[in-house]
This record gives sequence, C-alpha cells and structure tokens, in this order.
Amino acid sequence: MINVIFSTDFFFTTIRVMTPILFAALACMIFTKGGIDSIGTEGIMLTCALAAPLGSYITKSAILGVIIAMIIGALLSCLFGYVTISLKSEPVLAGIALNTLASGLTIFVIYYATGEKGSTQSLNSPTVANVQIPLLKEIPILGDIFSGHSVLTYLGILITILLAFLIYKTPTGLRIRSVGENPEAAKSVGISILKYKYISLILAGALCGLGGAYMSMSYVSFFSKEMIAGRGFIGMAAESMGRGTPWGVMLSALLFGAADSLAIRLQLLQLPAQLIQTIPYVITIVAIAIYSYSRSKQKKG
Amino acid sequence: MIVKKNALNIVEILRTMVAIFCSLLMVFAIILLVSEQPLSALRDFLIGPLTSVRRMGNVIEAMTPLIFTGLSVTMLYRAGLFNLAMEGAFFIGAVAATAGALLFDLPPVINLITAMVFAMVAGGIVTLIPAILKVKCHANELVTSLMLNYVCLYLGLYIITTFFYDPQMNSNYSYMFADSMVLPKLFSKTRINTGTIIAFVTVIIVWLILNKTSFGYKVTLVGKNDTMAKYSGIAAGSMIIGSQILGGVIAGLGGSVELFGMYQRFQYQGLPGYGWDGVLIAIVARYQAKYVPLAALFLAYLRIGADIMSRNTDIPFEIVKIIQAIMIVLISAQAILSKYRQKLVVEEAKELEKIRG
Repeated sequence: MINVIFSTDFFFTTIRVMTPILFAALACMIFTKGGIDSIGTEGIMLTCALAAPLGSYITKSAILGVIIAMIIGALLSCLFGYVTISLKSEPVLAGIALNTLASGLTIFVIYYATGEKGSTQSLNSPTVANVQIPLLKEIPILGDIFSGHSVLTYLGILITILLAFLIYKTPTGLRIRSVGENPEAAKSVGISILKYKYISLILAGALCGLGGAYMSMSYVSFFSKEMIAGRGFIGMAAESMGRGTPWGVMLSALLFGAADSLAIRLQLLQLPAQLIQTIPYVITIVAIAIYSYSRSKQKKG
Repeated sequence: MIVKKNALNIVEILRTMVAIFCSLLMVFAIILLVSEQPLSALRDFLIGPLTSVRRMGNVIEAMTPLIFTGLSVTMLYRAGLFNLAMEGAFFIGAVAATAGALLFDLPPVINLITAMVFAMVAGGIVTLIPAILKVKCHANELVTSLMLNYVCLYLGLYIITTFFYDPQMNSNYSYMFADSMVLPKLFSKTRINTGTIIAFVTVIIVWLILNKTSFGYKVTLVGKNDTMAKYSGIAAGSMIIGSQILGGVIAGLGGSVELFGMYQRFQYQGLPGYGWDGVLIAIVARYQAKYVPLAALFLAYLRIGADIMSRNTDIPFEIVKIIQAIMIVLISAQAILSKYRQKLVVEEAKELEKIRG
C-alpha cells in the first residue's frame, strides 16, 4: 500500500495539483497584504479559466491566451476594488457577488461562443506545453518528479521567488504592506493608499489569471463549467495557513497538493472515493484551527 | 430620533429599489443586445410566470427553499459572523432527512417529524463547527465554513451511496421514500405543498426570536458591537454559538422540506446553491425576518421567468445569476445615495432644532 501511495507518480501529481492552488494562494497573499478581502479569488479565476482558451482560440497563440487571461483577471480585480473602495460595498458580499457573476457569466459566454453550456472542448484551443528540463530529467527519481511539468508550474515557482523579493526587499513592497497593515500611518507619511491598493489589485488579479489559465490550458485542455471547484477558497486557506509569507504560502499549497494527490492515489486502492475527497478540506479546517489557536495564545502571552 | 430613523429607513428602501431597477435594466440591455428575438424573450421573462396556474405554482415552489436559507443567513449574520456553512447545512439536512426516512419504520406523521428533526440537528451541527472554531480558536469563520461546505458535500454523497443507494437507479440516487413521507399537496395542478406553510411558520418563529426575546436582542447587540456587548455583561461567545446553531437548524429544516416536498428520493449530486441565494435574499430583506418571504418570492419569480425564457428563446437561464450579482453589489454599496442620506439627516437635525428652538 505504501508503495502505491508514495511513488514518483504521487509526487509528480502533487506538484501538478499544487500549481493552481499556489497561484490562488499567492493572489490571496497579495490581496491580504494590500488590505483587500480575497473571497473573490474563486470567481476571478473561473472567469480567467474561460478567458484563456477563448483568447488563445481567437489569437491562435497560447501565450496570448495566458496574457489575455491575466488582463481580464486584473480588470475584474480592479472592478472589485472599485466596488469595495469607491462604492463602499461590504467586501465579503461584493466577493460573493463576483463569484455568482462569474459562474453565470462564464456559462452565458460559452453558450454564445460554442452553442454548448458545458465546456469549450469543441474549440480545440491551443494549450500551454509541458517542458522537460535538461540535466534535471536525467537524474533518476528527482527527474521523474520535477521535470515534465507545465511551463506555468515553473513560472509559478519563479513568481513565488520574485514576490518574496518584491514584498520584503523593495520600497513598493513596503508601501503595499503598510497600506494593508496600517492605512492611517501610511497616509500620514504621504503614501497614496489608492495607488498601492490598485497595484495590489492588479498584481493579485493577474495571478488569478495565471491560475485560471493553468486550469483550462494545462491541467485540462478546455474550460468546463465550475472548473475552479473551490480552489480559490482553498487559496484563502493556504494563505492564512502560510502566515502570509511567500514561502509559507508555497509550503501550504504543497500540503494541499499532497492531500489532493493522496486522495487520487487512495481511490486506486478501492477505498471509498467520496470519503477520501473530504481529506484535503478536513486537514485545512484542522490546520487553520490549530494555527489560529496558537496565534491567539501568543497574542495573549 | 424616531423621525430620523424613518428617514434612514427610506434611504435603505430606496437604495434597494434603485438596485433592483438598475440590475433589471442592465439585464434588459443584455437581452436586447444578444437575443435574436428580444421582445418575446422579455415577455417570457417578465410575465411568463403569470401565464398559467402551473407556472404560478412553480414560483411558490421555488420560493419555499429560498425562504429557509434567507432566514438562515439572516440568523447567522445577526451575530456579525460571515458563516457561509448554510449551504452545507441545507445539503446535510437533506441527507439526514433521507436517513431518517429510510432507517425507521414509524407511524406516518411521526416518521416525517423524526426525519425533519434529524435534518435540523444535522444542520445545527454543521454551522456550529465554524462558530466553535471562531469562539474557541479565533479561526476565521469565512474560510472554515467554505471548507466545511465541501466536507458536507462529499460526506453526504458518501453516506447516500454507501447506505441508501438504490442499485436499480443509474445515478447515485437513494431508495424511494414511503408515500407517507411526501408532504401533502395543497392545490391541484401545482406541486405547492405543506412545506410552504412550514416555511411561513418558520418566518414567524424567527421574527419572534429576533424581535421579542432577550436572546434576539443580545445577539443583535453582539453583532453590532461585540466590545460594547461584552461590557454590558452579555456572554458574547454563547450568543454567537446559539445564533449559529439556530441558523443551521433552519437551513437543515429547509433541506428536509425541499426533499419531502419536491422529491421522492435523494437526488442531489452537488451542492444545490440555495445557501448562496440566501445571502441575496437576506440582503434584499435587509436582515429582517418579516421581509424574507417577499425577497424570496422576488428571486423565485425571476428564476421561473428566466427558466421559461431559456426554454423558448436563445437566452440561457444563467442570466439570473448575473442579475443576482449586480443586485448584491448595488444594494450593499453604501456610497450610492449617501449624499441624499446625508441631506436627509441634516434637514432633520435642522427641523429638530426649530422645534426645540
């Protein structure tokens, strides 16, 4: 049984299913750093998951498809920002509205684009390639696990490193954090709150775009309705478990990936599929409870 | 002070009206833009539900589960928590009701009541989990409740397929319920059933709890100002937990009423989404139990209208979700009409001064 679970396949799948959660969690991290509620991540990702294959179908280019998804993500994110900052909507409600809009709008659009209501499979849109990493793929075991993933997976890991640098080592990062943590103080030293909120909104929206594009151009080769299936919400959980640091966020995304991958492997062993599917969510709830408890203890102590 | 409160109420009602009007207007624009037969689409959408007794019945049938989740969200939100587990509670309620219906062989009405009590208990447990984690561990109820919904979905499907699966069916449906488990129909030609009556009784009970008991008063106070409530000696933790259990109980009951009113066996393959609809209904009803049926009726009317439209024309049913989204944003947008609100407050202050002066 141990052999079936902990094979190189298991670790390969872990990285594969981690990727969209990593993008979602990084997006939630940027939202949270800028003091913006992240519940709309789910809906933005869903819309981008549709924008990507449609964009690549129209432009006949996978790269342009991904870029279009990122632009749509940034625009939607800014719309959310406008509604919550300027129109003063309750952020959680605005996020729920965004998710509702996404689930209706995507079906509406694919119906007019393809005549079907379920997926864009009939478009045969270009997809993002998987790449073998030279040298790495020659190494036994490690090569099987780390080589041969989607370009977007490697991009996600690269972006994690870049974000760690951006947030902690640059003035922009410092200002984003100060706007999120203490807007009054930021204002008093002359930082434009609005400007840095929108910078975080655009960054986070583009990250949602990458996550959505990964789902419909790498994970599978088409958009199907409700395909994000809670990954945006899991991203919120991963963000709070990762304590808002890029490395912590990546580690918790990896944990969710492993739980998901474990669920897939256990199903091969004829264990009840649906019960196994609860595992990642139960782990999340328990982990958040433990983390929150220890943090509240620290504060008191 | 009384005058002022009325004026603010008017602004709130006005904002709701403006939001409904604007979202419908935007949707009309979409229909005019994309449809090949915009006029018949609009007619189906707007007056379609009134064209036959059966369709009017459909509106009432669609309203019933929405009343339950609208009340559930009203109750959950009163304590100031964004507990979104009502979606899972509704679903688990239906699962528990299935178990209650198929496990026992009690006399007719008693078995029905037993199954509904099962549903209420199960729903209460679901919403209790994020509440306890919030009070004891300070865990963000938003994230835990969202995760919990997925646990409910898969756990529920596991229970149905493992213990109650009818091998004669192609899908994962449960065995059929006994005839005595089906809620009696009220009118011929429609499927309106006693479930709608249960829904209205629940409205009254929730209104009484929130407005006429000290519990309701304390919960509202905790929701409005947690710290102040604490200093006035209210045990905020137990108020939160109490309100969250009640919210889940209502949602769970809704799940069982919908199941026994509209189905003869458990058929859900995914979360039905009534919990999320409840958020819109609670907002439109401005978190007042007495307005929940009206808001639910409104959404149900839109749903049936859109359904008729999607059958006859080229506009897909999902347009309702677009309306819902626009409405949530516009109603909750505090900035809309804020200048008008400001003006009203100033005018009244002046008038008060005149009276006193």
